[in-house]
Amino acid sequence: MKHLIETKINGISYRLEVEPHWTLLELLRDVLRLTGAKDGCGMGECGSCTVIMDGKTIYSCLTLAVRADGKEVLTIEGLARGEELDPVQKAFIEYGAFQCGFCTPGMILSGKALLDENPNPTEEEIRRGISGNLCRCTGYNMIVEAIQSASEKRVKRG
Amino acid sequence: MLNRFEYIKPNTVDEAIFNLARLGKEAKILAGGTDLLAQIKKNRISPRYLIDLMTISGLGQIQEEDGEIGIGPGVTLSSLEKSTLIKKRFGSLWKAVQVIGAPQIRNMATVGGNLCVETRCKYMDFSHPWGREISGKCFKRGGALCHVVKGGDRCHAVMAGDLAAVLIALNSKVLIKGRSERMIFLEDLYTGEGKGVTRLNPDEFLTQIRVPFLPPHSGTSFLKYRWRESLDFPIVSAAAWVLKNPDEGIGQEIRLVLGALASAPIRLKKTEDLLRGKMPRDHIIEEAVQEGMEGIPIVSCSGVPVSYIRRMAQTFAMKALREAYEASH
Repeated sequence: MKHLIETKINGISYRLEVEPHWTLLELLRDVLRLTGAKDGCGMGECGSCTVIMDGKTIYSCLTLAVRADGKEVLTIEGLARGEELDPVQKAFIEYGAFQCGFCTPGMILSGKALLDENPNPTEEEIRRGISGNLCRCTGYNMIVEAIQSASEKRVKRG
Repeated sequence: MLNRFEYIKPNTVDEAIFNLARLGKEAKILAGGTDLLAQIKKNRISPRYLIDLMTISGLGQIQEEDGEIGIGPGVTLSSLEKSTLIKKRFGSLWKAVQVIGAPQIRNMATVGGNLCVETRCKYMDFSHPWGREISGKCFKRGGALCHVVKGGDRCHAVMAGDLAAVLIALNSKVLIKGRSERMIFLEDLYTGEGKGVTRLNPDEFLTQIRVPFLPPHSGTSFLKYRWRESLDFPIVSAAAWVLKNPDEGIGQEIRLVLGALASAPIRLKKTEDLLRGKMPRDHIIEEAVQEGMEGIPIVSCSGVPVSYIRRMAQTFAMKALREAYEASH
């Protein structure tokens, strides 16, 4: 039996019919064609499917689509304001914090959620903050530096 | 891709119990889903119904009452981590919850789910394609064999949840609701069997976890040993609570629990007895742990050799005790 859900994704309100066994990731990628969140391991281990739901990062591959009912979901597609990139996105470009790019959407969202909660994290806190996202290319240092720099810019600006 | 199932969203505890009783073994309780949905994806289980407990108001609260703290089973691990009450009162629990999974897992996973999590097995968990070729053979799949403990007469899969050990060390109780309501010590929740790890009947679930406030001069500790700092299950975890007599410096009451070694958390009662009334000197702790660990059967759920796990369990048990003694004053 399909379920009717009402959800806000990247600021847009949707009324959707979803199958009970659909994951949020399938809803995003296959129905709404928001392919920023990636289908990596599918088992909650790699973090490439990370999205933000009601301010908290979650693995969309292990979240049922019906669970998005009444919630606000933010994916990488909804992070920039028009042409203006989020400070974390800008910092990733500036620091070259990606190579193949597969982990990048999840990594950026983990960085953003971390800074929203803790605007001035230590290096250790950043590493803990992105510990649910695997990157097989960069060795993490540039990612950590990018988030650090975004934090400094956000603090200065704020 | 998940296999098809129906999704049921009860509004109250009674409604959930009604559905559990009606649907029996075909239904599974869905809390955070971080383990359950992965199990379904791997084809280890294929429930026809999932009953979502996360929408029931009241199961997600932390409250203080009568010298205890009541934790709802639907409290997410990150809410527990952020609770100032937990941080202030229960140092070991606060430490344990921070090292589970990863931020995303902690935002989703719940206390109740962690206590009732499916056991882990090096045969089931590392078979490919996921568990299919062992269908009907081992105890966990409904057969009468254990591939890990040769000649074993039951499923020896390992309870690797972290909160069980630390909450047992804190002498917690759990409130269970089904057709009637009962409260038992968390320690007694576990059967010691890898299949059917808890004593919950099919139509029952946890409705609250009660942790008593620690008496003055208590010290607690929690340690977890694993290869990676995140997203990894423990090789061993150790939780201790010590009540010190401040005048003499001796331990009056001691509780020591080890996790991830067997199908239930292991309380080292012999070690506790040997340490009661003694000064916490290093050699006394070492001897008490060595004696307490003698004959304790250990099962590896990860391919790490049992002999190594045993040595690490002793090391971490001693370290946990020392930290708890130091924290008590």
